[in-house]
Amino acid sequence: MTSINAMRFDEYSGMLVCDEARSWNEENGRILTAEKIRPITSEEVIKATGAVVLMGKTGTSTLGNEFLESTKQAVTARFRQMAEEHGLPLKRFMTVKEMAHFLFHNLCEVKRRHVDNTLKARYGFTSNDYIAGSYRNDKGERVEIADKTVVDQVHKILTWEGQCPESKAIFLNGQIVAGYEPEEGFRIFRSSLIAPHCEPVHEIYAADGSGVDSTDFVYTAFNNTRTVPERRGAIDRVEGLAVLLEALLMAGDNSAGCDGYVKIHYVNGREKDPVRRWKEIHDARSKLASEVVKAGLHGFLKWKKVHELLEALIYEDRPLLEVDDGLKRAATDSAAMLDLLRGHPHWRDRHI
Amino acid sequence: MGFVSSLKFDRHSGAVLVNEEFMNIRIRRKMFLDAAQSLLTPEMADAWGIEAVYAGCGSPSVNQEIIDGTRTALATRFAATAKGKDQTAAAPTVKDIGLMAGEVLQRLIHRDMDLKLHLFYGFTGDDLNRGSFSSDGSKFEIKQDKVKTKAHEILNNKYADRNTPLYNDTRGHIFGFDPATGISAYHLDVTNGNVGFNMEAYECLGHGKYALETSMAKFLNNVTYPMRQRGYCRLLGIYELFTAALAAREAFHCTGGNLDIVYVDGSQATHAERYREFNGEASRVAMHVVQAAETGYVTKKDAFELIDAALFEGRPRRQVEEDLFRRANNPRALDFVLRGYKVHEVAEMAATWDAEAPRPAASKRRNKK
Repeated sequence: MTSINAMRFDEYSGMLVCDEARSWNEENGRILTAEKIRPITSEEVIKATGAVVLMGKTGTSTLGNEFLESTKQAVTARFRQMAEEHGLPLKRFMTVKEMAHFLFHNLCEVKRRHVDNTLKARYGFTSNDYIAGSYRNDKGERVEIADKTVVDQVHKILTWEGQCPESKAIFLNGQIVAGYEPEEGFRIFRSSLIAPHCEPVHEIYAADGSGVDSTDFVYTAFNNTRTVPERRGAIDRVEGLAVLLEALLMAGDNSAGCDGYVKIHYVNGREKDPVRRWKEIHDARSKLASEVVKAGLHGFLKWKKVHELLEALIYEDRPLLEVDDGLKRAATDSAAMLDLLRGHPHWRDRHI
Repeated sequence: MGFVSSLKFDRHSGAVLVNEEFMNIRIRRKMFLDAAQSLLTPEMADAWGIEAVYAGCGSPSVNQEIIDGTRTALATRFAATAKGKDQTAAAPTVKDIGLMAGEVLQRLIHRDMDLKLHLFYGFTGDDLNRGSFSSDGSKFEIKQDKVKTKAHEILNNKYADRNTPLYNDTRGHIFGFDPATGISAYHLDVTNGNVGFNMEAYECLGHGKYALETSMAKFLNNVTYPMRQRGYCRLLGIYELFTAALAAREAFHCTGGNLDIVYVDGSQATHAERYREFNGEASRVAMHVVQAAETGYVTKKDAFELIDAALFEGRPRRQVEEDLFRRANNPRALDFVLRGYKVHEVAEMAATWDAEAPRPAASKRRNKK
């Protein structure tokens, strides 16, 4: 129950957006605290290498957090090791592709640890023991793993064959890795344990989570109408932002669990100062950006005005109230627009 | 799935509140559930002098089938009573209606089990009971252990397919008025076909029921026995129903969409006056009023007056809204709150404006009478 999304604007820049809802328990509780997209390059790594790479996660919240944090620690550890071996500045660190695959291998390690927890509790051996066919118990005795039912059941847990419930929480996870690094520029990768893969994204976007039911229609419509040069690296950053927000709005309306404020991460490798290459926009500013797009979609603003307001709010950092006033002034019917923003249904107003 | 909540205000009046959101296919949200419907036609209600609303959560189709079946049963009963005379003596009570709905539910459960048995094995529950079935003129004993085990799982509601979770979450609530009993309510459970009497006449069902119940408990636990006996003001009751709904919306999925209210007042003479539905813009502005009060932007006294204006006086929604913003101690901040901005952030932003920013109300309301 999530929407994570990334879009590449050009070879230097792109954007990632997500919602913040977390499903809490079997009673369908939800809470708006999830940080679904976070950097896997620490500030130390960003400053030293100029690489800004983020990961978006969907699936079991605790597992996703473990994947992300352990990968960030591992990337930092790798950086420190290389810095010690080769000295700073490094000629080369890791590309986005290498980080994506690094992440996937880290996922495998986390998966193995969690599966081993279940196997040890239930059967007294680990996955390595299982593969080897035997283990040593607490008394030091060698025990063959021979029982057919045990062999079959453990294989299901290891591989999620038949989507067995024991390992559902581990396997039902997907990731998007996107960001900029100086060697290859801005790239997007997606990976998943559901159907195990880690691959570059051919399109200019990646979307995952339950919200993809909705967001994919928006991105498809957008991509279908981009020219080849645009798709190869000339997407207008404001237009891209508007499409990402439109997609999140649709996900929020149509799919459960895509709620709360939008979190926006803008990555721009053109910034000379590496720390400024990553800009995080959240809370009221991202909420207002969503509202601007919503007003545009329902015909209260011309699209040119939507772009102007988004540029001012997100890229130029104009004060929030100034943009809010601008929104209300520019609306064709401010009272009706506020009705919409306060939740009154308005289907006839949608601009076609 | 949605939620259902209700509250009895006094002997002759109370209200049911439902939301319009449900989910289907891959947890897609829909905001057009019609969860609370009258079981009586206006003609029946006027002839009998009673009211009954069915509000359901869980499977919309199961609930609709219970509503349709109960309406048919009531129509049959109504047709059998003599016209042109005082028909109130022949009127069913809310209990009678609850039991009718229970019978509809029990037939529905049995039929659905028969559908599965028929699909899988070609026999029905009756055949399972007798131990054999007929097919193409021949008799077959039901002997295969695996078949018997599975068939019994189906009968005992242990079988699960992808519809099962929603089906098993289905609950019905029948809330109404009859002169003999006053306001009363009955509860239907699709997992066992039971009809339960709801004596306290408050209810919290469906998604968000724990938040609904916690909010309701905070109110009812502080209402004394004499107060419960003599009843309380309808505006207070509706305010509390909205407060509970807002709590559910805050913390649970499938609690969104518009809120629909059915207000029943048995002291009135006609169905049109006894059974009043508030939905669409009227209920949304009432929800906004309660939100404004709960976040400290208007007083509770103002909130009651505005709810009265929006619902019972039927004033135009825009007028009520303008009045709400006129009364608000920080209209701009209230605008942001009603647009869904986070309360604490709005308070922080408002602290930088000219007007004095109210603190988020949190739980301070609970300390007041």
